[in-house]
Amino acid sequence: MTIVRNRWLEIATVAIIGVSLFRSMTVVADVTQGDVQRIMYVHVPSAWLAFLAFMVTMVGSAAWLRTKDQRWDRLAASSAEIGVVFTGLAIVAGMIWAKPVWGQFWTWEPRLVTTALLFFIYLGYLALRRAVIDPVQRARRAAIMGIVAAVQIPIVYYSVNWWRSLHQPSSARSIDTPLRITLLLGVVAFTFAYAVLLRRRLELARLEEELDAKRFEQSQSVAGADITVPSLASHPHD
Amino acid sequence: MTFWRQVYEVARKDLLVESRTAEVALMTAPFGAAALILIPLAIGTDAPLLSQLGPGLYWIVVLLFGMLVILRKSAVDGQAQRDLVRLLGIEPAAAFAGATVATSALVLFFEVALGPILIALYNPELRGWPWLFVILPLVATGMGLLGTIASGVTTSIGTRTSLTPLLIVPLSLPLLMGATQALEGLRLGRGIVPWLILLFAVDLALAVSGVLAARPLEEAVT
Amino acid sequence: MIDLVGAQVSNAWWYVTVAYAVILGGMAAFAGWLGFRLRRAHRELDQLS
Repeated sequence: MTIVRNRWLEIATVAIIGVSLFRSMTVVADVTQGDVQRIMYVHVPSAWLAFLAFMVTMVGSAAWLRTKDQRWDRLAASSAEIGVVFTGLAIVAGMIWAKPVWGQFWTWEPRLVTTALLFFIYLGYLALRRAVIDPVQRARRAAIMGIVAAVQIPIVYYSVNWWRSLHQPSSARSIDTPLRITLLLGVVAFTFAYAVLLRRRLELARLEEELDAKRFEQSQSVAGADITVPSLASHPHD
Repeated sequence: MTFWRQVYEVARKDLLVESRTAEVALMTAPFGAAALILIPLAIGTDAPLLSQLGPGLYWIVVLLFGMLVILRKSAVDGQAQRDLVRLLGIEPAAAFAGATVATSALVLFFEVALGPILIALYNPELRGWPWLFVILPLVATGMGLLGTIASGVTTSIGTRTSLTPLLIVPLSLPLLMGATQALEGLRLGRGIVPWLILLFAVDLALAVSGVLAARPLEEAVT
Repeated sequence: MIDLVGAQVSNAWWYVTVAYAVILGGMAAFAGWLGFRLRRAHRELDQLS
């Protein structure tokens, strides 16, 4: 029972993913695109998660700048790492969907282009974090970049949308209720998955900070080490 | 010193440093020009094709090679220079604005320097060319703002020559869209105002973000 | 018009399978990698303390 209590979120997530998967495979096929359209039930939720994760990163960044509490920085970084994974998966699924339907891997559709740019924005954000050693500096610089990027992303989306609408008429189609419900189920399932992954990634972030602190502590030699009692873990003259 | 005087002094300092090395004029601009010459050799020298693609290729060169103009400042500004600016009591927002003005001016210079190359090699249809007096500065300002922010967060990082462009390029897409679509709109006799509004909105959003981030940016460099 | 291509795709289920495998597999792989890093961090922390 302890296992169930500790892992209730993981169990619920696997269950809801299972239900969503079953529904995605069995719901009636789309009239125009046929069975290939079922890819939408994993592509759209992945993309949704990619943007949700980035919004969480933005919130964490803003909260860190206000409070300087390291927990917000851990949230921002953890969410960004998960977000880049979901962004990559969304792009790949989008390409697998595009090939049979439109005959090419890339369609220059505004949401796909914005998702691709989001991927590079995430990569830049994570690269910036990797390049700064001091945790406070890292948090501060990443927070600034996170917020600037978050402000620009809607502008990026609208600019690609306008460009696209000039070159191609909008092919927005309404989707029927059974398909809409299946899509919603997929979004809920992926949101649960995000929560599970975020919780684990946050734990990892906390452990890594603890490790860094311990390593730093141990690298500092004690003043007068020759005459103090050496710790069992290391000897000053090793 | 008043705020605007501080902005002026910081911009003047940056432009003075640049005038001594003439990096943008003598190195970056020729590099951009070389790129514009190489491109037709790769994609074909068909005159109608080049005429149509020319403006788009020009803006891509401005955007990507403009990174070198932006990186110039972080290469030149060491810790000592930044400390001096702070010790003189210059407000962070003024330091940011001054740096942006200088970088934007240099990007504008770069854009203007490449203009004749574009016209000579690609023979683009530049209907409504007076609008360039609005478009070029708006794009330059946007790149200056993005560049100053990105340079600010990558100060003292060893990999900044690669990291800074990676941070800037995805976010500069609206500038690219606005510039290319404005010229395209003029060529086809369509409206240009929505694209000018887009460019202005990008610049405004970046300016507000940058000024608000100026103080944390300064703290990020200590 | 071009959307009608999809309805006639004969190997549609192949594409669907690959897409689902990539997405769900990718998520599982990331979760596994996180688990590996967590275990390694716990191990290193135990060694240091």
